[in-house]
Amino acid sequence: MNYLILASLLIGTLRTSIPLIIGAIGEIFNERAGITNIGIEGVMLFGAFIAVYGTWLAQNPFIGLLWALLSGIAWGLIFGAISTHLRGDQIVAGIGINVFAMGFTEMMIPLIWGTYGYSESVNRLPPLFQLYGERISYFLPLTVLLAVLSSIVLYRTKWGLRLRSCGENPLAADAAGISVYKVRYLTSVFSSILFSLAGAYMGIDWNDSFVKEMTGGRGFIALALVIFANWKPLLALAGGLLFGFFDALQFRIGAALGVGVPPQVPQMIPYIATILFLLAIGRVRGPSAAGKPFVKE
Amino acid sequence: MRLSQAIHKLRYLASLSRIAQSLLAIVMGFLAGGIMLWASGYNPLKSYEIMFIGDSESGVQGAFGGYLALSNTLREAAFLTLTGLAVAVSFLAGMFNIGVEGAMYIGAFAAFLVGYFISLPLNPFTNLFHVCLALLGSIVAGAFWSYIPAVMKVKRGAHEVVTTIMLNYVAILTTKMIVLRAFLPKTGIVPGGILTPPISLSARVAPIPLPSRAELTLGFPLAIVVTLITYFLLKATTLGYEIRAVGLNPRAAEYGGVNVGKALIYSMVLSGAISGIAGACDVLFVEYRFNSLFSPGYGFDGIAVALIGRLDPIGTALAALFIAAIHMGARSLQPALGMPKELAMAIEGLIIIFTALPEALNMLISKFKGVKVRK
Repeated sequence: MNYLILASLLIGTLRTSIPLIIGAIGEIFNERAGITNIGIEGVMLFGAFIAVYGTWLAQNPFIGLLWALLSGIAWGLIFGAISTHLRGDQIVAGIGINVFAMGFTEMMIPLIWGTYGYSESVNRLPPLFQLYGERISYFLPLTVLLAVLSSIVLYRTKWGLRLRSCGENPLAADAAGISVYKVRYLTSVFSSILFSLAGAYMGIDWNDSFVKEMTGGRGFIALALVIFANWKPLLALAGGLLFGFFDALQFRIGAALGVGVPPQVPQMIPYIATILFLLAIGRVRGPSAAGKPFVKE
Repeated sequence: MRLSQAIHKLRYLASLSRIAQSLLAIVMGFLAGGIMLWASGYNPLKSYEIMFIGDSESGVQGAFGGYLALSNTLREAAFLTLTGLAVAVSFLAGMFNIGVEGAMYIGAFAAFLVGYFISLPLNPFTNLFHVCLALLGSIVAGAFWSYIPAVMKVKRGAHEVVTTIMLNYVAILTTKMIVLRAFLPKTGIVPGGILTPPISLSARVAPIPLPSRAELTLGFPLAIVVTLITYFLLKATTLGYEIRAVGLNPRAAEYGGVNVGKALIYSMVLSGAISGIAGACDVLFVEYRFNSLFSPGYGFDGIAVALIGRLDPIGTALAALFIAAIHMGARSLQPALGMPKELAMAIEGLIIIFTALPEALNMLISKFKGVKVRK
């Protein structure tokens, strides 16, 4: 394999791992605080759509990014309510969010752009710098920073301790004077902002338009990454690069394998790799109270 | 005697409130859908009228607006009943199986293989035999496909939401790859997907003709039969009892002597078998060939159907009829108003979210009751 292909594969790995790592870290915060949101894919897809739409309207990718941020806050408040005051079934609600986002975004494409399945091209966010003609995104250093800061906040600060106590033993946390609902609302908003920005990255940084179902199951791969990383942000960073490598491989292995291999084989790689990772990890124990509604006596 | 009467009455009331919850979730979904329509510049009431009845100006029939529309709604309802049942039997055991879509593709492909590679002289007996054989093929293939994530869950604790989603992609890509490799030179690509050549005449079942160009495909009666069999399996057999017990409380079921792993695997195998039949319906009764993109997401719609039907087989069949009406209605909105048909999926997603909130819905219901008492 020549060096140029190798360099492009490495840059591709960095690029594809970004939404996986951001999504996984968001879900780690969620589950550590006792929330299980499997609607990552939906919130991501919605974020990608709203970022492209905002950018298209204002002709400015930063406005698009702002819209995605607001969309993340809105979804975070909705899921926060579902997992606290409304005492909802979080798995079912997450499935609902995914179905809604898939239908809604595909419905909006023709209403806005008059085309089916894909939007017009919009301005991308500026890159940090170019390497071998490939864009290196601002999201890359920010993702590494996010993983490091998340690890510090979760394990080295009193807020992190409080957050984790809500996910392990909410009754004890409540007895210690922590408002479990408040912690869960704030966590849900923070994590949904991350999901939404991961989507925005896919819409206006990695790509320059919105395509239906463009997240392609990455929200679910992030969910697998949470388990793989054993609910630890730094391991999510490392695992995300591994998962990202298999995601990037699908775009580049075709040329290496030659014409004889059907394109569907490399396309299947990230999905099969995810299953194999889960099988290799085996049974693991996450935060005890994740996904369970907390009822104050 | 009094106690058992009281229990009966309580159960009756509980089932009533569950129906009320489903209806309320539907109403909320439609309210939110109405807001979306209104925000997009359409009149919600007029749009819903076009969806279910029709539009006299453009001559578009709504879901229940005529024989032809009704027969389309019933064909759609057959698919949704089957995928809804497939979701329901796995959700009942507590398996959040999102893999019905993938198992359906595998089942459809198996039915196609049996229909294509076997060719029998045409008479009613061979026709029946061949169709049953193809159905059997789809059942075995679908069951096998869903067995994989079930074993992964039981033996290695692999999260079924993740594995079933990943297997959906694998199923759709694998069948597409085989069709492209082995059959493409003989047929071609249409906008909907890649087509195989047609199956043998002996494996096809023609639809039953109805008045005014309408026709009823065999999928609908078959879906009713599968509904009744599933109802019997769940309510009158030990296996059904074990599946429900595990779903309610796996630990209690285990103390009660139920093999939890076995119940989970059986529920998924059953789910896969029903998904396979759903796929076969398209190949044997509708398209007479395998289309690499035949499903517009029936497997995902099945989740909404099963949840609205409260995971009960009869409720699921009724919910399927309702969701099918939304689908066909949304399809008539597109020519009448230019509103994309994906509106149906958005409304479904909202209904799923609302069914996830039984306590909130109960609070609403009890508020309505409270108003009545005061009057």
